[in-house]
Amino acid sequence: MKLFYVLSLWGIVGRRQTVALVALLMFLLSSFGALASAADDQAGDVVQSLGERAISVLGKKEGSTFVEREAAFRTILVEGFHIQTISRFVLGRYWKTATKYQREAYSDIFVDFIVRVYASRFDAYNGETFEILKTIKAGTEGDMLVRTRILRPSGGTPVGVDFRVRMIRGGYRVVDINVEGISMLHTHRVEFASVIKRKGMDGLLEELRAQVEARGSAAE
Amino acid sequence: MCRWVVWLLALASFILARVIWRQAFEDRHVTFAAATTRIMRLGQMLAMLMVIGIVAGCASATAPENYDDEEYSVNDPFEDINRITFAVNETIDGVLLSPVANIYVGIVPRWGRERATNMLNNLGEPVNIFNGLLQWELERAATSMLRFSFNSTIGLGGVFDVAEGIGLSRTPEDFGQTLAVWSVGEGPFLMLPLFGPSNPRDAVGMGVDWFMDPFVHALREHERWQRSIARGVDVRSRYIDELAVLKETSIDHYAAMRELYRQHRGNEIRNGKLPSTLPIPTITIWDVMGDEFDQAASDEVVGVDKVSSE
Repeated sequence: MKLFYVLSLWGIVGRRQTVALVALLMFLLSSFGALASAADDQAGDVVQSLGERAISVLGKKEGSTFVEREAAFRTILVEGFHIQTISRFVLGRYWKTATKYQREAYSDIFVDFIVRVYASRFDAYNGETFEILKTIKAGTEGDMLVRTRILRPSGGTPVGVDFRVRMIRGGYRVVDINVEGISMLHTHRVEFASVIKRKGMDGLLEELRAQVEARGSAAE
Repeated sequence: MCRWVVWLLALASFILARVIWRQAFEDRHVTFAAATTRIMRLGQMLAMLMVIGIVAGCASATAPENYDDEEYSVNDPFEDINRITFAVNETIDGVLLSPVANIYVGIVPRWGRERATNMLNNLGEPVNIFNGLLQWELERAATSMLRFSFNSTIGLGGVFDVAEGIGLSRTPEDFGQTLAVWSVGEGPFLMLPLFGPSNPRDAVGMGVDWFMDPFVHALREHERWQRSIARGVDVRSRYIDELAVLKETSIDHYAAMRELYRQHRGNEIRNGKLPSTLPIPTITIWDVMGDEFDQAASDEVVGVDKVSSE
């Protein structure tokens, strides 16, 4: 009731007026929301089309090999995600200390690595559908968070997946995926930092190469 | 500050342990049951001591939101020991838990497994209620209460989750989360034998949950064991694919597990809400600077041709 008292401007306005005032405020807020929703829709559309494309790839699981599906995922990932931003963030401060050769090698191998990892992780899905819940502003850099949930075909508990999208060179690109509140970007960043701390930058590059090769041979 | 408290606690628990151990066994004719009770009492005292110590010592420690600061983002001073424990756990999982879970999934159809999950979840509901109340999350506590009463009666002792059907989804809470809500810091990462990834706060929470769980007191010794084993197999069987893929696709399995645990707990503590200050990748400047990495070029490189030629 304290809140109501404050909303009634500390008792100056009567009960009925307060209700009207709150209603007016909510109406105003919602119309401000409508202004912002054009950008929300665009961000949501990007995620929607990405999701539909990914599901259509999984839908053809019967008549396709993992290599074919991986190639399709690769196109989706490279077009829909901003891999440059992701690769830099994941390396964090070690980018600054890396040599020019290491940076080039890292940038080359990172695309392969991220495609391999996410193609394998995503390929485990079968018959899932997803729905976009809402799009909200995330942070100060103009990022949008598209909240979705993946519905299991068995009817189990849905999995909450948030896509962080950012306007980069005139288009929305995905920069992070949060699965049930777990940021893939931060997980990779900590993982990479741990490898670099123990084995150095070259050790990380080796590990990434080994992972790409292992997944490649597993696919064949 | 926090580190000193941990050392003092370690010393205090060592002394306490010696005193109680001597009490338990100095009398040669002591029965096994009597000794067990005394050791249990020791466990209780230790748990309380830990709670008090951590609340007093670590509550004031604030976590910086600076993700470049490795000291914070990876608070793992016992990494060497943790890695060894992790390797042991992985071995145990590989030879025992994972095969059992696989056999379980192979034999029991999904319908049966869901019934078992529901029943075990229902037995865990009282702990959710108590912790919901301790966190003053009244809506969640009430949800757990209603779930417990519906599922235990109409749901035939929890076998059927009828509450889910009327919109009362599970609201898991544990004492580790309660401590977090009371602004106790998580402390250093710990890899516990058998229990897996944890930290002092959650380890204490696990102990306290054990004592506040009425079923632990109601069940007999062997029933408690059965329940614990069932819960282990149930949880493991639900994450067979996820854990296998994670192990295969991570370049540092331990580090990935550690980070997943930390973020997962953070999400549980926030009850699935978004963090108030979202960690933001501060990399926009590199978009301007970055000549070494060309997104357009990478688009070309990774065309379908390259994959099929491999």
